[in-house]
Amino acid sequence: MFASSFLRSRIVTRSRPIVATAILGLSAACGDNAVEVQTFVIDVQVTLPTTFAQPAASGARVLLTSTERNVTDTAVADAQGLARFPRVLPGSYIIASSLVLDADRALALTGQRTALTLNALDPARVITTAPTTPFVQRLSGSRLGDLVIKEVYYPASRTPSGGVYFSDQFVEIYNNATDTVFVDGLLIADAFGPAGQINPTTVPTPLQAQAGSVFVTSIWQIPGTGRQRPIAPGQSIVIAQDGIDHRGDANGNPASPVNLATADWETFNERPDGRDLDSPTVPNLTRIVHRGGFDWLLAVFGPGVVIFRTPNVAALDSTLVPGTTGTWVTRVPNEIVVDAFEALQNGNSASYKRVPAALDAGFVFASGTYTSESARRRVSTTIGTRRVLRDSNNSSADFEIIARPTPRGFGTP
Amino acid sequence: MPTLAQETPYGATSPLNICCRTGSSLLVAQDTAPGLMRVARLVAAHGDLPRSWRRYGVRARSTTGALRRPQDAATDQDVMLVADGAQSVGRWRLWGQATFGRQREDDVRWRNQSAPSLRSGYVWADSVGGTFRSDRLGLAAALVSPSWRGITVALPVDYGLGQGARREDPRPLYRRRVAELSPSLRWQSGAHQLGAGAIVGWHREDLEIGGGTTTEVPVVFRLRGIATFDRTQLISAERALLGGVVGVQGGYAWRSLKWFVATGATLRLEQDSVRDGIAAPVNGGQTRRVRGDWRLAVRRQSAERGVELDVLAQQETSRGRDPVFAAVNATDEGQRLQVTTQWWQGGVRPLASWMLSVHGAWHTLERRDVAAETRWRVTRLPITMSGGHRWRQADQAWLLEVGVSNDAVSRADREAFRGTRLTPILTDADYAVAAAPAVGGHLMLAWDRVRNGALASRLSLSGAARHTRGMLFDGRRALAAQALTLMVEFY
Repeated sequence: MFASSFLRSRIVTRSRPIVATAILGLSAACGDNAVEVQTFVIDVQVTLPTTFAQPAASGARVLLTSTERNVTDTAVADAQGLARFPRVLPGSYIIASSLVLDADRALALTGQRTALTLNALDPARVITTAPTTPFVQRLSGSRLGDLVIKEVYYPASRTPSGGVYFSDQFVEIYNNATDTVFVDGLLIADAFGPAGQINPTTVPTPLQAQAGSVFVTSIWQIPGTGRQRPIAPGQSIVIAQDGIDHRGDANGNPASPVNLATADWETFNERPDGRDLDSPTVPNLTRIVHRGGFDWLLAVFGPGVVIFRTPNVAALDSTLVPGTTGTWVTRVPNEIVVDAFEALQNGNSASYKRVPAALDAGFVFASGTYTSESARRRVSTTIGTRRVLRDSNNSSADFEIIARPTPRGFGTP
Repeated sequence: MPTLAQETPYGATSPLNICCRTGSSLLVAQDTAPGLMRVARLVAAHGDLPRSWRRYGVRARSTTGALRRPQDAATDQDVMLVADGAQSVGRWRLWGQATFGRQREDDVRWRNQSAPSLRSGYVWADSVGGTFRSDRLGLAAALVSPSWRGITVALPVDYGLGQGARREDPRPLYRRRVAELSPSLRWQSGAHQLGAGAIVGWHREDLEIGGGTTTEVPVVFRLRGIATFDRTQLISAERALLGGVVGVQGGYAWRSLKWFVATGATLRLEQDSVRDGIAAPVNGGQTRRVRGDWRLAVRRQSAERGVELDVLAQQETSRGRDPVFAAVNATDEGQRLQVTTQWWQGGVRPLASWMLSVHGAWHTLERRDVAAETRWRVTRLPITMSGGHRWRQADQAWLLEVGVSNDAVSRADREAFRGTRLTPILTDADYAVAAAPAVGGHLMLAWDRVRNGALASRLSLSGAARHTRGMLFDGRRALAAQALTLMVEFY
């Protein structure tokens, strides 16, 4: 009304004079304030890999997650591979698709009778206007794993006085197959990169573009000659940061939710200053490479964890993180990864994903740090007394955040 | 909105009395103060600025009670010092005012910035809450030129700054500055006065969180409407809220020995822009408000009695343009019509022996959150009746004032088709308070000292209370709020 329309600066710089600032601020509103928020119809075209017998991924499950509202809508692709979301608000979304192929359908599509899980992920799709063409999701995937990461207790806990305590973190690996699996030589590592916008200057890892590999910071290995460490179907092993009873040990935290004195392994980082605790009751993993502090600390904001196998771990490439002068990481090709898990800071952190979508198409997040919460894989079904855990290579779908960790258990925490 | 603000014969604002934006409007008003020029922007009344007048005062106020909006403090304690006065310099006249206030707000939740910022609609918040301590300083001045062929020019300036912080993580801190100029022109011909003016203002609030401990990584909510939000964990962050206002005003006044009639209208256009981050600013949303008001005040008075009628009609629209949706998401629309009549006898205000006041209003507010498909609308009909008596004893007087109010709700409805986690916490809680009918009362006891027929000092103690039998969102019933004010003023 009073303001000219020739200036439409929405962000007013701090150095402008008072009057100019007032006029500029008002001018920004003119003309833009008539349009209210409207909803759109969003179509997602889900396609199979180009090497498959047909292109349409009928039956694919498509998740549309608002990163601002942390609300997920689900649609299933029709016979043409088209999934429709009828009432979508403008905003930033994660679009994730998955399709589980049983052996028969995999045979029809690929010629091989091997069950597959296919995934696709668009971690940051900004939708401000109604799209004129469907968003395309091309699936890729890997074989269903026999070993899966069952639980990752990463947020850690608080001490009774309100301090922080992170030595009680653990990772649990579960045999989800029908046969005994030997874990000798199994490697476990944490993915490089921040878990979210932790500071105003935090940016996602520059290694995201190399989607054929996951880049890890530290690598630990279960010792063994090949058939020394069996896990029966439905059983698991617990890898502790420190294998002590964290609630009762003098070095622990009375408010910790876990006793890890009976863990199967711990990550002992031997150093001259002896700062890492070496539990006498829990054997140590073999330290392949450690690029961190005095212990193998998983990011309390949300780690990426992979387990993988390779006959020659020393042959893995190490690379310098672009833009840094001394930060090295190790490249783990997707093909050797057995299972992956990813947690990020919050629902807005999808752009910070470190684990490629082909390995893990989603992520989970806790309500905060040092909350004693834990990320646990959901149970898909129970056969006899054996639980079959959900494994769609998508942490968003496969994992849930529970109030307290449940090492070797599935009970209500 | 329910409020504990009083409309009383002795202690209340009148359109014919002083007021300013920097915070001293709640102090006892004086007929001798430069009223018309500033209140309701009745710019036709430059000539009412007194030639010589001064006042010093201190006010302490405590407000508490469970009947409160979700972003209000559970207990609000405020102390304010004020000094103001007018002086003639040759044919020029000058008025100035300085205020200093210190405030403590306990258990403030869902607001990590100053209360005026809530008008922007884009607010940092957390569920932890805590105690805000803040200071504020206000400076105001008005310069009125000599009359030239009946024309005078006035330049009122308001400037205020304040700072507040909370100790509880994420340790929010805000610094707020406000400046406003409202130059005006008056033409006088006999008993008639005609005026016009402009308003140009600016305000800025800088916000910081973090920098406290390493043991907390708190979750911060970015509110973007009455239900829409996003949240994140932040160690530290900065936000700036920048705003401006432009407006026009016009007015007319007519004065005779017994009659004083003034009317004026103001149209204000305001906008707040929020930006997150300092080094690389990110759009955090804009709020645009348009407010128009019209006011008519009529007074008939003699040395022994007087009567005054004050009518105010107001319309305000607010639209918040969301940074994510790139469209308008949060809207408020409100209308108000209020009528206040006052009658006094046995002297001029505020030295009269008897006073009686009736204040009635109709106001409605509709708040919407488009994305959350949430809307509520409330129409209230408050009415307050007050009466007071003043006993004179030589050069001193005692004053007692009693008032009762009934704040009825004639219409209240709400819908939330796409609720969020904050819908019950903020939307429903706010609606429940807004839609709660209430009854209230107030009592004021004051001691005046009079010198040469004019008020020399006043010591007053007043209390007000509101009570509702309505049920709030969490099932609580029979809630109340109380305010206690102690005030001393010297003239």
